[in-house]
Amino acid sequence: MNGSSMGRRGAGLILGAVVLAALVLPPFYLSGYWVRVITGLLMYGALASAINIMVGLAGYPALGNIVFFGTGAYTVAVLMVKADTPFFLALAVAGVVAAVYAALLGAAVLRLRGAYFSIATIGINHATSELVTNLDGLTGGGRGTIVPFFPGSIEAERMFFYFLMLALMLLATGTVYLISRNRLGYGLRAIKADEQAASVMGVNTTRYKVLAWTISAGLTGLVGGAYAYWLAFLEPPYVFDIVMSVKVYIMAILGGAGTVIGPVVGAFFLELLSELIWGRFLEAHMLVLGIVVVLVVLFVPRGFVDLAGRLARALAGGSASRRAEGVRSDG
Amino acid sequence: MGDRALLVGRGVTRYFGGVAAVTDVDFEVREGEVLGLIGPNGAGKTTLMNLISGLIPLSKGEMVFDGRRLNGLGPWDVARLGIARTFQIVKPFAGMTLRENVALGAMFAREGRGVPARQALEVAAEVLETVGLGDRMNAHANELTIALRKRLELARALALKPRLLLLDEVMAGLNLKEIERLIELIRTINASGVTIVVIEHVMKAIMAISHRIVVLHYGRKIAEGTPEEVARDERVITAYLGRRFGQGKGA
Ligand SMILES: Nc1ncnc2c1ncn2[C@@H]1O[C@H](COP(=O)(O)OP(=O)(O)OP(=O)(O)O)[C@@H](O)[C@H]1O
Ligand SMILES: [Mg+2]
Repeated sequence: MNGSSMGRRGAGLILGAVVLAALVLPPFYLSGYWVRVITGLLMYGALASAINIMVGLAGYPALGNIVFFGTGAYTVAVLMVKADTPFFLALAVAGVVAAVYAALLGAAVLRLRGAYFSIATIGINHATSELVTNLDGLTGGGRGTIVPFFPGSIEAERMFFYFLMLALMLLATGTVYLISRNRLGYGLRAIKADEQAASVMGVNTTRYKVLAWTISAGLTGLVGGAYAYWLAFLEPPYVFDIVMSVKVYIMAILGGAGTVIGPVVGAFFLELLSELIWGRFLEAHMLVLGIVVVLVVLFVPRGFVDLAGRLARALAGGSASRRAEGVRSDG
Repeated sequence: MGDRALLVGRGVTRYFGGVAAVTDVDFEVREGEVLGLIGPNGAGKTTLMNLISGLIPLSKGEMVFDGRRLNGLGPWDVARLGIARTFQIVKPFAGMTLRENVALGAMFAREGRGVPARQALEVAAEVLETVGLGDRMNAHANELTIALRKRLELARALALKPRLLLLDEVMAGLNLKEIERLIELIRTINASGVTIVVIEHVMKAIMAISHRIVVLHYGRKIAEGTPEEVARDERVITAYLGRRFGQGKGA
């Protein structure tokens, strides 16, 4: 037993090293185009992990979560343009502003559930976008705003944003990992399963939901802030984009809502697909997205991670595991 | 069992819209006792339990638990004061194993005594053992029969290490043998120092385990006393027992 656990640990270390290499090496070997593509994948991985805290752990479909991305993006833009704030300071503030925004909204909006909550978040995104558009003295309004450029060579810039997004993705995914192993994660999963039962078991459901949304928003705000600097030009529709929000939501579900790694897998899959295929069918973007949604709901309702687990069990256990599956789906 | 009141309710009232589900009920639960709560369907038993556990606010009246007013507290506060409960319609945490279901209770147990996740999983294993689910720890709740789901509800509540345990029809839907085993279990829990309020339609069971019984009818308390006293009470027989006592298992 000791031997086999040593073996497993060894395998884990090797796997970890391979994953680390796969994450760190690309910008040194790939073309500028592919580095940009992968930087995008990492960004979506971070966003999917951030929304996972709400959707996967707490069971609250925060479909309009992109509002915190936009909030973060504009916080960075305004601070850098109007106050000459250094980027990393602006970025930190962006995370805080987005988190505080969620905390303030949370107490009111998190009374709603399911579709009602979902619709409320979409409304908040729309209202915030309007507000940013109307504060044009500060934000540039509908004309948009230019964010100061990255000071350095194109190669340095490429590296910078690659590793910035990688760091944010690891931060978001690591946060999900930590949450899910601690009281907060158990409390959120209980809330997802049955809020009344959770509350009489001592889970302060109001506080936990607000906390989850605050963390999710803070992470999303950081990614938005990084995006603003990367993009260098902002308009409200770019960063308060509900289509992007839905995409991130689907990524999380597709990979496996509630799992640690699933949303990242879903993000990589969908974003690569879009890069390889959708690029040629720009007009049909929404159509393809719709078809993917339908396919996901039909064939992988619990996501890739769950599917992979089942396949592995089926291969290993044969009929025994199938029988167990059957018992479970009876309940 | 002492005479000290652990939980006291005065003028407890709850309206739903214009309808009074519980009206002006005074009651006390004494430290160490098993108090039966009976009455016809819709009498307000579950509502009273929901009021105690803080799931719904009182319309009027007040409740005091061990010297602390419960009015205005959230259900999590009430749970942490040491009041745990089960639900008439079981509410297991889907997507969690039995062990995780129960661990949750230990994690959020009484004030200052909640433990980290990993430790809670160990406590959960012990609690599952005591209710006889020790060999199913890694199963999911939806793999269980109704009888075992009721046990899971009980285990989860016990993991909170409560001083007062509220049981809402834990015996409904069980066969005679399962009921007997559950009665034993409830007695054991009570003997370990936990005060218990039981709602039950299974008359033999409630008569057997209760030290005292409170009878509700249309939201009002119509009788209170030892099982013998209550069984002899004219109003109780007319309102409730006449129709069912002696019918074996009851509803
Ligand atoms: N959330 C609610 N909204 C509206 N009415 C309610 C609500 N909960 C309970 N009631 C009503 O209050 C009354 C008491 O219901 P309660 O569930 O407390 O009865 P009970 O004694 O537990 O009955 P049973 O033995 O059938 O479980 C009923 O008329 C019921 O319809
Ligand atoms: Mg009831």
